[in-house]
Amino acid sequence: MQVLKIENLKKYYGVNANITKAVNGISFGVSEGEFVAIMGASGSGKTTLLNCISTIDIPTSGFITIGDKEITKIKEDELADFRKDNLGFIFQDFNLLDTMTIEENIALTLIINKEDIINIDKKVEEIAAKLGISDILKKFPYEVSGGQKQRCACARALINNPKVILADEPTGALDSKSSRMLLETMNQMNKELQATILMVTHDSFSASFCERVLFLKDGKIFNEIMKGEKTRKEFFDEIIDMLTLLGGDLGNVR
Amino acid sequence: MLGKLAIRNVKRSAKDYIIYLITIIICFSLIFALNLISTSDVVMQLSKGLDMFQYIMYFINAIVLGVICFLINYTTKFIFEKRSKEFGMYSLLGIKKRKINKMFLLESMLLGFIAFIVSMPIGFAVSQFLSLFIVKILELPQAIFIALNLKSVILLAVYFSLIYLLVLWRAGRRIKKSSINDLLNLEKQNEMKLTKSTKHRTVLFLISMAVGIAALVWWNVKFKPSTIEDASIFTVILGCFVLLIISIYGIMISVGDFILSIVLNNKKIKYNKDNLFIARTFSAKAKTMGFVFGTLSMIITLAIFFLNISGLNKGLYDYQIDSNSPFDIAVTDEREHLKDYLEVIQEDYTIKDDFIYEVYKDKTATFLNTAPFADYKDEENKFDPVVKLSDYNILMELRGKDTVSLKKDEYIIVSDLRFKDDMKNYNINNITLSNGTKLKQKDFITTGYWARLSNEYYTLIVPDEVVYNLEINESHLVVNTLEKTNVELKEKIKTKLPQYFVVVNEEGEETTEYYNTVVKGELIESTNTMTMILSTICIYMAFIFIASVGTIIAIQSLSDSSKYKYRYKVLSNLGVKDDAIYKIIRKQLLILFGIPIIYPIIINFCLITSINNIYKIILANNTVYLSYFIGSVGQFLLIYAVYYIATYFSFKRNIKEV
Ligand SMILES: Nc1ncnc2c1ncn2[C@@H]1O[C@H](COP(=O)(O)OP(=O)(O)OP(=O)(O)O)[C@@H](O)[C@H]1O
Ligand SMILES: [Mg+2]
Repeated sequence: MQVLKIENLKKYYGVNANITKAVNGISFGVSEGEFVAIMGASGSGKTTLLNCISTIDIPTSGFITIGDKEITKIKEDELADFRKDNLGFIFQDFNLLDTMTIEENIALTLIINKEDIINIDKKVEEIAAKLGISDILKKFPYEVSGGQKQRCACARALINNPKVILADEPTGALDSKSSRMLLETMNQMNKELQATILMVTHDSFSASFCERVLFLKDGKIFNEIMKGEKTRKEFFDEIIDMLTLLGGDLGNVR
Repeated sequence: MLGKLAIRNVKRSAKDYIIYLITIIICFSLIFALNLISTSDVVMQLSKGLDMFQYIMYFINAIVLGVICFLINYTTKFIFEKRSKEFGMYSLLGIKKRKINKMFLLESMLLGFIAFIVSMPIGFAVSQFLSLFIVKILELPQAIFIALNLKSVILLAVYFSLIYLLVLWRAGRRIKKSSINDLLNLEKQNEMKLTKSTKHRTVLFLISMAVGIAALVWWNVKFKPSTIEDASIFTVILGCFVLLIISIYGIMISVGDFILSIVLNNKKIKYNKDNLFIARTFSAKAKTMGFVFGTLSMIITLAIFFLNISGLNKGLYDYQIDSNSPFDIAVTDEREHLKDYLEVIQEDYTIKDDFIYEVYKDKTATFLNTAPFADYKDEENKFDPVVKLSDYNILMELRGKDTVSLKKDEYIIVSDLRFKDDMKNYNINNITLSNGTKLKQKDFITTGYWARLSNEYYTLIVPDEVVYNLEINESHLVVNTLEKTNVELKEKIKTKLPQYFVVVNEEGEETTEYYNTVVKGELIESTNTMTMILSTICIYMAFIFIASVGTIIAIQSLSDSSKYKYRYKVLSNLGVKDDAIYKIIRKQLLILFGIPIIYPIIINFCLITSINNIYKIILANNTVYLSYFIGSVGQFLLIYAVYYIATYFSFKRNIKEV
């Protein structure tokens, strides 16, 4: 069953001569419990696509259906409820609130969902331990490192066990050990809780965790490859080949 | 729980909120004070006949209300921007916008309510202070007490609700209209707007300029002694103000683009030093803050205008005193009597200087025979007063002014500007004194004159040797004392020397004449202090305005400081030295503080020059208003500079913080 369906999505910035077609007619579907990676050169529209799906941004045209709801049509309030119950979003630039401690940032989701305090504390500690940030919980975002911030942002998105996770380069600032910890956490959620994950990444290693990789170029889908029965190593090599074909210097090629 | 978190958040950004709170407390105190005064029973009673007073109160109230509405809206927007990222995150995590809106509303209302309560006692105190002014303005015998009354509390509550309804309605719409992305990136987006280029703004700039010039020319044409008394003058004033307001807003919105287009179109200017950088910053600021700058410019225009008026009035007052009594004591009597006066004065005062001179009569009366004196019927006293050059020079020296010199056949006429104006049409140059001496005019001066020098209009200064045969009209004694003179001295002279004051007329009636003695202390006390009071009130208003402008710009730049914190960190990581960064900051702040003051200074210069057309005849001279103008602008810049420096240091601290 397709939990996410995108049809001819377009998002343009600017007007007239200055127009940027950040997303220029993208269509694809994602089944429930699928773990999909999105790759593409810098500026190819990955963040924009994710922002539209998460209703953070409003698309210029096209349709986005999540579950059985066409989200460009439904009311603000209903969207808010949808985000509260189903969505976890990891930002490329973290978007932590400077005036709150790491702990408070992570707990925000639960607080908004009105969980009781004992539960909140337990859950925060649990996810923090999984991502290796237990000892910085009392600090403020400007007192911790970039990678720690990123893990905090991930913890915030994942703590609620969301049905749909939209992750914009969640491993961009992480070393391979932390990356692996995070990817494993996401993988676990994907397997155990049937969470649907859409992850933007520049890193072929991270992408090889997924079942399918979409390649974006200039706001359009350039290609897509499936893992199928391949081993992770085979899939990894295939991704690298694809990237070479794409012609971009996508860095982090291991 | 979320409420608690939000409150904790507010606490952590207390610094921003304190600025906000102080601003609205000041605002509401001011409104409350004005309310108390304009609704107070005592003042109502007093101002019954004074429609003018009521109108002035309404006018001030309206201006203050407008300024305050703007200020509160601005600070609310500022706070909103500060918290927009938090709100965006709440929204993303599933809180409905309605609820976020309610949260912000409650928060602002709570702060507003605190300000509302606190402002009442403060406003009450301010009103007592203001009532002192009123007592003086209306020359009341005793102080009045402005009581607290329900009406003004209700009025304040109404204003409060209106302002907040308006402001919060706007904030609500802002939340509703923005996507989560907008909220999360509000600060970034503000900067995005800058890159949009708009050609038609250059046209707007030129039109606004034309409107401004038209208003100033109109004002200048109408502000002439001949037209000022027309009833239409109020229409002119109002019309000019409206045109100027339009012009100020237009120019402030478009000036950035205009300058940028000039810089970009000229390579020589473009690549010279920091020009491009400055022009870009300038136009960016003017674009995002065009409207704010417009309002700031308007308030600054008003502030400088009030300072100018205050300066003019102060000048008027000083000139009145100086032209009526430059010496502490001046007596007119026969020479033998004068030593008696001196004795009386000496009883209580230490005499610093004293001097006696004579005024002679020139019965030819060349000047008195001109048309302006046609009704001068007193044949016996029909003469031009004449004073010897040496006497005049001694008087000038005593006043600390420049002396003059004359050739044998020259004379000088001294008078005031009004008389000089009257005489313009008669072109009298050569005169013949009644003893046959022919003299030609060397100069017509207005600086050395004071009303008591001889008669009320003018005096001829002639070489010492030409006064032979001229009859002495009377002798004058002038005295400067070490101590300040007061009213009692005059009373004392009167009671000690009654024989010189009591005049018996033909019917045998006794009358007492006081006019032959002038005591400076008495004059100061009796001169209408209205001008002084008016000038004090003007200054008071001006300070409020300057403070508002300073606060807004300070808030604006401090918000910049947190926005730019990262940018400066990058610069510093790139190896730019701290000193260089500080220089950039200083320059940026200078632009921010500088943009809104240039046009107001130009406007005020024109306005005041026109107003001087009327004031000049009652001021010391044609150009003295320039010194008042420079004085006002100087005062303004002084306070403004304090804000600038304070902002610079907080800015520096802010970017150093993290
Ligand atoms: N708010 C905006 N206004 C105008 N143009 C924008 C805006 N946001 C993004 N763009 C443009 O849209 C295009 C796609 O941007 P997007 O952020 O989606 O790229 P991306 O694929 O996420 O790149 P990266 O890998 O560097 O994060 C870019 O050319 C970008 O400059
Ligand atoms: Mg991106």
